[in-house]
Amino acid sequence: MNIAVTTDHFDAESLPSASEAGPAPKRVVVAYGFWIFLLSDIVMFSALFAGYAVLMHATAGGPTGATLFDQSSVAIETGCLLASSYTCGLMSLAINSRRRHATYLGAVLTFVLGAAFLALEIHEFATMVALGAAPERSAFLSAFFTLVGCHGLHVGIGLIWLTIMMAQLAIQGFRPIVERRLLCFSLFWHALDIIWVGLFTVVYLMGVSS
Amino acid sequence: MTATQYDRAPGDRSRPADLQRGAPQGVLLYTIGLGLAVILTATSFWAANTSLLWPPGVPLGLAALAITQMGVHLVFFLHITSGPDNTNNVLALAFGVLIVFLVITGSLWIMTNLNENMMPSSELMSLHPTTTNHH
Amino acid sequence: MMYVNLFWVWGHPEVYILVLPAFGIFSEIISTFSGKPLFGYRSMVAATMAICVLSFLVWLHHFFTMGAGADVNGFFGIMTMIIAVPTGVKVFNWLFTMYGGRVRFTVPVLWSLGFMVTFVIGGMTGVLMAVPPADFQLHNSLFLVAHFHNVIIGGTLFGAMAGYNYWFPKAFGFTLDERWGRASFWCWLVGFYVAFMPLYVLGLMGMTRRMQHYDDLSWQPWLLAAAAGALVIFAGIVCQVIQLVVSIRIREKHRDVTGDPWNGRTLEWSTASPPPPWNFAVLPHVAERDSYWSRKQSTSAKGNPPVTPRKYEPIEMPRNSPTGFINAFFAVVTGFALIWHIWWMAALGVFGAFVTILFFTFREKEEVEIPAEQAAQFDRAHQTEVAV
Repeated sequence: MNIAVTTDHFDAESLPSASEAGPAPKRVVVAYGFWIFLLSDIVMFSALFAGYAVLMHATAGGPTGATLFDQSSVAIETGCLLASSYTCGLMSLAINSRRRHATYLGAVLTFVLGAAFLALEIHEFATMVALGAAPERSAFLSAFFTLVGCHGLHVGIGLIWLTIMMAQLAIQGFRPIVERRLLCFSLFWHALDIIWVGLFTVVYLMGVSS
Repeated sequence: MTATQYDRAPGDRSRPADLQRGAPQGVLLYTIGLGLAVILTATSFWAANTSLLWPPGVPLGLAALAITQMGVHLVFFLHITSGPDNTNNVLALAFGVLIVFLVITGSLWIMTNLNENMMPSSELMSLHPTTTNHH
Repeated sequence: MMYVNLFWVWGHPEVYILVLPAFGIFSEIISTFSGKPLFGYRSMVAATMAICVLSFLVWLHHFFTMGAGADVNGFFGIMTMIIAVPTGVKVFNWLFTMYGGRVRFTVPVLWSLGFMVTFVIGGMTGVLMAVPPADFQLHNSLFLVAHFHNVIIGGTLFGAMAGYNYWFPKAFGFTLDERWGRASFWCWLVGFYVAFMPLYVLGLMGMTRRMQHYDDLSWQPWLLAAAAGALVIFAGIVCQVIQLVVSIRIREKHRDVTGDPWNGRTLEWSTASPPPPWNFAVLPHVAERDSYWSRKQSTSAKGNPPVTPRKYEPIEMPRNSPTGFINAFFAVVTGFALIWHIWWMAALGVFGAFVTILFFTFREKEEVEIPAEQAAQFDRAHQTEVAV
C-alpha cells in the first residue's frame, strides 16, 4: 500500500521505473527482513557446526558417536521433520487461497510431526544422559548437545509460534499482518529443515561411518 | 499496492496472477520437492551404512547429497528462483552461504593447523628424542 | 582456541560495523560543507562492499601468536593488508571532495578533518601489525592498545561527534553552540594525541597491556604524559556537556526555522526541524543524488519558488507501543539471571518477555492514520524554503 502519492504524474501506460513505483509492499519488506534474520541465524549455526567439526574426536575416553547414535531413530526424526515441512507448504497454499479449514489442518499436521521429532530427540538426549553421556562428559558431547540442542530449541519455539498463530487466525482472521507472520513462520520452518539436513548428515551419518 | 512488483517476498511463489491458476500447481511443486528430498535422504542413509562404496569417498558423497537436498528445499519449498523479481533474495542467500563457508572452512583450517603445531604428548617425546620442525 | 577463533570471526567484522557508519557520516558532512557532490560515489559504494566481504577474511590477525603455521599466518596477514586498500580509496575520495570546494570550517567539519588524520595514522599502525613477525613483538603490547584506540576514537567516536553536531538541529530544532563545540573538539584532538602517542612508544619499549604494576622506570615519563592527555580528553567531555547545557539555555537564539541550517544537499534538510512524525507529507520525487541541492539550484535560477499544488493523502504511521521498552527490561533480568545461574529468575524473565510479546501480537490495530488535513496544515505552517 502506497503511503503517499508523488506530486509528479507519469504516463499511466508507460511502465514506471522501480524508483518511481514507490516503496515495496509491506509483505515483501517484512519477509525480506525476516529472510536476512534467518540467514544470520544460519551463520550462528555454522559457528556451532564448526565447533562440532573441530571437537568431534575429542571424546576424552568416553563414548563416541558410533556407540551412541541410533540411526533408525534419526531416520524417523528426519522423516517427521521433512513431512512437517511438506505439510507447512500445504498450509501456505491454503493461506494464499484463504481456505480456513485447510489452513488449520496443515497447521495441526505440521505441529504433530514437529512435536514427534522433538519428542524423539528429547528421548534420545535422555537416554544418552542416563548412559553417562552427558554434555559435561567430553568436548565432543558438549559440542553435540549444543548443536543439536540449539536446533531442537528452535523447533520448540517454532511449535509455540505456530500455536499462537493459529490462535491469532481464529480470533482475527486472515488479516494482512497475520498472513505476513505466517509467511515468516513458513520461512522459519523450512530453514529449520534445511539446517537439519546438514545436521543429520554431518553429525549422525558422517559421525558413524568415519 | 504497486501495480508492478519489482521484488518478490522470499517464500512467495511468483506473481499474484500465477497463483490464481489454482492450487494444484502448488501442491505438485511441494510434492515433487518432498519426493526428491526423500530420495536424497534415503540415499544418504544407504551411503553411510553400505560397504559397496569406497570408504574415503563416502563423506564427500554425503556432503554432495546434503547440499543437493538443501537446494531442493530452497527451490521447491522456499521458491528461490533466478528470476529478476527474486534477485535480492538470491543475493542475500549467496552472501549468507559465503559467510557460512568462510566460518566453517576457515575455522577447520585454523584449528587443524594449530593442532598440528601442538607439542607432542610426553610418551611420543620419549620415543623421539629429537623433535623435528614441521614448517 | 576454538572459542578464541569463533570470537574473532565475530570480532573483526564488528570493528567494521563500528567504523562504516562513521564513514557514511563523514561522506555526508564533507560533501555538504565543501559545497560539492561526493567525489567518486560509485567507488565509495564499491569500496564499502569490498570491505564488507574482506572483513570476514582477516580474523586470525587477532591471534597471530597462538601457534598457527606460517602459511596460515601469511594468508591472513596478506588479507589484512589488502583490506586497507578500499579504506584508502575512501580517504582519497573525501580529500578530492574537499579539493576545489569552498570548505566551511564548522564543528562537524573539524571533527571530520580530525578523523581523516587520526584514522589514517591508526590504520597505518594496523597494517604494520598485519605483518606476523612484527606482530609477534607487538601483540598485546601498548602498541596494540594505542592502535585500536587510534582507529576507534578517530573513526567511530569522532564520527559520532560530527554526526551529533550536524544532525542535532534537525532532531531538536536548534543548533548547538559553536564555541563550546570547537573547545570540545580541540580538547579531544590534543588530548587524544597526548594520551595515546606515548602508548606507541611504550609498546615498542616492551610494556604490555593489562599490567597491575610496573618496575621499569623509563616508562614513567611516557605514562605521565598519557595521564595528562587523559585529563585533556576529560576536559573535552566536560566541554561537550557544557555545550549541551548552554545550547538548551540559549535555544531560542539558535532556533532553526528554515529546517536547513547548513545549506544542506540531502532531503532531510527539506523537512521542518524537528520533522513531523511522518517526515514527508508528500513523497518527494527523487531523480538523482543530492536531489534537494539540485532543486535549490534550479529554483534560485528560475527566481521565484514554484508553487506546486500538492495533493495530500492520509498517511499510515506505526502505532506506538511500550513493548520494546518492557521487553528490554525482561531481557536484562534474563541475562543477569543466566550469568549468575539463578534459574528461577531466568525463567521468570523469559516468561515475562513472552507474555509481553503475546500482548503486542494480539493488538487490534498496528497503524494510526494521519488525516490528510493534518499533514496539510503542518506543511502550510512550516513552509520550507523549497518545495520538493
